[in-house]
Amino acid sequence: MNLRSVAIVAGGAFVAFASFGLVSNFRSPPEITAEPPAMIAKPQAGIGAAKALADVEKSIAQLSTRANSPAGDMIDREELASAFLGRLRLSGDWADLVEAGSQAEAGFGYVPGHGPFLARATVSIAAHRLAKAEADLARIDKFVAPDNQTKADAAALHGDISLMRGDFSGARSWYGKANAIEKWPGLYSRIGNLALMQGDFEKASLYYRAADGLNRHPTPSFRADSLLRQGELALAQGQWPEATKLFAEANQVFPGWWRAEMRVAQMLALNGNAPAAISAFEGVANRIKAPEAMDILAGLYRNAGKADRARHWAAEAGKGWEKRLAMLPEASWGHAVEHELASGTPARALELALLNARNRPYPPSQIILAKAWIANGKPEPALALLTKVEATGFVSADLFLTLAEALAMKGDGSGVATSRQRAVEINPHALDRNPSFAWLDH
Amino acid sequence: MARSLRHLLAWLVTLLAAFSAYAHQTPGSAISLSARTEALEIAITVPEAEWAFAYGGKAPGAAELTRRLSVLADNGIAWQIDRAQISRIQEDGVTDIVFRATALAPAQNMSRRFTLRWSGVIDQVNSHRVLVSGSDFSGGVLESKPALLGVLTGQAQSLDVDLGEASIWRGFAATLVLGMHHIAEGADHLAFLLVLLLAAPGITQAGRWQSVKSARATLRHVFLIITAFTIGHSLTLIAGAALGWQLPIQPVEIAIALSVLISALHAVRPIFPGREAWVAGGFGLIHGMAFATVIANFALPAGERVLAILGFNLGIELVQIALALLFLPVLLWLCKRPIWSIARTVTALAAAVAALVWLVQRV
Repeated sequence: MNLRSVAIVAGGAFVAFASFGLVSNFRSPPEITAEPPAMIAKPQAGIGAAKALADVEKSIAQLSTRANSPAGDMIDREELASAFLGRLRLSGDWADLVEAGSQAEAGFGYVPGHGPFLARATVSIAAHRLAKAEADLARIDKFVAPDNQTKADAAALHGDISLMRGDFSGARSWYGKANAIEKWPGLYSRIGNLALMQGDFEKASLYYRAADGLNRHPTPSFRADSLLRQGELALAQGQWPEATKLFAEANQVFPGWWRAEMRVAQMLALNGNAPAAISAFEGVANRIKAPEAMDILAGLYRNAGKADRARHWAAEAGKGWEKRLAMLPEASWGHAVEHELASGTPARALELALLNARNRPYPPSQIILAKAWIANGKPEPALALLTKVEATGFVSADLFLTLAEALAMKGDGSGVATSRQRAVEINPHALDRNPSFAWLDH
Repeated sequence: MARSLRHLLAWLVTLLAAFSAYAHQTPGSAISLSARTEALEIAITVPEAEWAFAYGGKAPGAAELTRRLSVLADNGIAWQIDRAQISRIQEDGVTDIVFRATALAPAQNMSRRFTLRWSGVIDQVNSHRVLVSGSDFSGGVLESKPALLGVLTGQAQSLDVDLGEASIWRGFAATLVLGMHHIAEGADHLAFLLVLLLAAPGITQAGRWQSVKSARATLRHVFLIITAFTIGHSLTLIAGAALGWQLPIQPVEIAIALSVLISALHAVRPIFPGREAWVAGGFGLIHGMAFATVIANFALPAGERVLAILGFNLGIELVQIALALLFLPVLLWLCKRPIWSIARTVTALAAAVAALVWLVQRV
């Protein structure tokens, strides 16, 4: 080959690459950018969860009266659905989500063929009923002239569906479309969540903070929610002091909120104060009857060697999950798997994990399914799933820890070491208190 | 859409995804096997809390643990479980039960294929896992880097183990590689040797390095330094490893950092001119103690222990010789150039800074 031929080949290759780059650029979704907030508004002090709950209950009573009156209409039902979702947030009682769904459904009883599509889609997504949500969003997409807010909300919900189906690129594209119409805190939080799942912690942090900056008049509950999200981001990276600080701040801004209390209790446990953590979780478990709190209690008592208490709380959690499974099966499958893996049977865990992964095939569901396969002594399907998850660009310490577990069952020592290393690179605490793996550090 | 609904939406999506962040790893057990010529040394570590969770808080006795453990030969004959003992260790606030026992091969004839069975905790707790790893000198797998063999669970309480062909030369080769790795990764050992060699060509005058020796004299001096260092570290390495010294690591590590610092300063301004070989030998004794800590705890029979020490030491010497061969031509070429004084001083000062950092880290 002479010099001229080489030049022609090189030139051709350059043109091909440049063309590909141009085409890719056209096809890729619009870049979403956010600026760090110049300032974050302070919420009004002195409004705790108890006061917020009393307010929302008052609001539900008023809205119910209005909705049930002869003058009641679709909007009343939509607002009532929204109020029940608000109460769910404070009560942790999934019956509120069921009631929100009933109210959204009732909104379709006023004008034939019309109703609160967006509210029903929202409830469906919260209940992990993706097909149902998608059908309602399709109706919105066909509206003659939906207002901008509706269009933006619908795009964001489409993004949520894409995310739960494991289509990160689709989710990014939908969020980009929503962002082009309007920017609001909820959208930025979603973009942050997507970045977190893809291991871009800096971007996630930027969007969480930017979401804060978009709200000029934050309620204590909004601010606490934002602080928890930022704390969870810190936790995912093993930044315990930062997570402890953020969760404590959330608890202070919006006192009495079970979600913040659980995170504070979690940090007590991680920081080695198991008795205080147990006491805090028992407070939440007794008040909210949340099975996830009961599962954690069972684990804490188990680690403390208190078998009776551990089994008591595991049994209570089991009852709680059965109740939720009956109430909202799709929303419960993924969480009930965790319970079955820790305290139940591997066969039941696999059954639930398969249902969950079929319904929401995104990486977290695939990882929990892999765990269920491992629990059933089958590392091969687990490895196949985890390899696919890794290829999606999803990043979490849990992914690599689960991969290490599957590889350990196959006796692949070097694979285990590599996976563990990757887990620790994401979260330096990933291998804490795991004596079985520590053994290999000798 | 109601504005409040929009605010709730993002929360709901994250709420329903967030709980897995609470999930924790359940602590598992670990079984470590060490294959010997006629026996299998077994160490089983079980978190005390997991045992209590599985069996209601009753502390296990050696007899119960022995009953839960079995090793079966290919032909189904059970190995004899002997010398069972229990201890407890505490680490990071977690107490572990450590059960040690020796499994003796039938008719004193160690088979390299066997089935390991263990039912502790996993027969009661589905989520408990037991990680099985093993070392085998004759298979070239050292205790410092055991091989993962598999995992025992409630559904799979036995594991077939095939150690493959036995050859003590595999163990020898593995320790040789271990020695090579150890010195190649031990920047402090290499820095010590390097700074001593920097002083090898020097001739002192009025308390300063003034001129350089002939190439022949330099080579002779380098040979003496390396030989003295080799004799020094070999003496303590062999003694430490053969006698199983339990050396306090911190003072040894501090002394090594000091040896680098002193030798580096000597390369800048002569402190012990002409006596580099003696110093190399003396500090070599300390470096050998550090080498010994790597293999002193290998629980090997006498014959295998001798091979392990030889292999490890030989690995160290091979890397040392290779580095000297690489460094010598540069040294011989550079020491005749005007830049030599600057090059020697800069290199020695860099090593001194590194030694200071090590000192601070190790004190």
